[in-house]
Amino acid sequence: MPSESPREDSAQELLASMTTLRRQARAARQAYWLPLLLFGVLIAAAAPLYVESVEPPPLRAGSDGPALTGLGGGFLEKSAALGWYWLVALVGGYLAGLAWYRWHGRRAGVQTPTRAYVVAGIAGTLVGLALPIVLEFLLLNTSAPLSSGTSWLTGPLLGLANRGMLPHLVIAVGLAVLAHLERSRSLWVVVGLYTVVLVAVNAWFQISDLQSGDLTRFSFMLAAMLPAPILLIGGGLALAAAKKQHNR
Amino acid sequence: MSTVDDPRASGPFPTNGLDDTVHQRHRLGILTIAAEGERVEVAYLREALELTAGNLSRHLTVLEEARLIEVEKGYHGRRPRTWIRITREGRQALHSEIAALQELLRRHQQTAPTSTSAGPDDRPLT
Repeated sequence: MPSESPREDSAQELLASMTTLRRQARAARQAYWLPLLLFGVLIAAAAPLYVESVEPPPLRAGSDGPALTGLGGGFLEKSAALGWYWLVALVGGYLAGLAWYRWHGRRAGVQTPTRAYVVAGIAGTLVGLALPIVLEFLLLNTSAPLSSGTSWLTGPLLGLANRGMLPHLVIAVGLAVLAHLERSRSLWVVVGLYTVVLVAVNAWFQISDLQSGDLTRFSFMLAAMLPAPILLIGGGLALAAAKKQHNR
Repeated sequence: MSTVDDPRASGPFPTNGLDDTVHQRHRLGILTIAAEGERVEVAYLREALELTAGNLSRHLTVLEEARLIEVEKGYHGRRPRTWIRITREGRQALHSEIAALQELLRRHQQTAPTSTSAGPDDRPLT
């Protein structure tokens, strides 16, 4: 950057120089591979809690968990354990993401604003705890016109919540906020694919006319695991790209 | 009647929108990098802009006095570190500068129709 005279630089040169600096700073601060891998691993680690036992459903000792286990859904045998798992995993995952970005920002010299990401994640977790109760109220306890008018949304959402997949939605919301903060098209693509799979899996349950015996003990587990590879592959590719750039 | 062949007819000349505090190449670079993140470390700026510590400090003082940036001094372990954060005024000044430069470029391309060079906006940011 040799020139000190403000008028010597052409507008085009200045704008090109700004684009380069902006691109370099963005590449230095972007670090979304870790949240992608972290949430991918957290979903995969929950797999055993989605597997049903071999006993027929009527023989199981059913129990209603406390309100804090609302993220575990109502259809699953291990709902309470799954609810506790996701409560800890989501809050821990978002706080770990905050700590990661602080550390990475200090190391890179450019900090990404991540407050909105953590706020969205924690608020999403709290909303996820209350949502099943609100949805059940809307579907079952309100007047018929209101209930039928909102059932196109409340029905599928309650189905998703009952299958223990609200945490997946909370992750999608958090990652969408992160994609906005990171200004990353690649992360938007990963979030888009993840959301499409999440919606498609739940739409299949909603549309299929499932009868007793149609589902195996692994059906809910398979449904819950399907979005995880997208986060793991997306995070892996982002990590490889970050290492390649670091080695240049 | 306004035509593309008569740039005088489409408002004041864009150089009127250029602010000397912001327009200086290195200060524009500092604001551009600072606007990309929440805050940026001085060492990063020095390396990215290829400036000496004294030269960078001079530009930071100008921007701080114009209230376009805020300077935060702190420690990371035992190492002193200085961070800068762009203010709302700084962000507005940067946007105005970019708009003025783009308008200047647009007018230049209108008056020189044979030019085929692409503007920086045509380039992907990520």
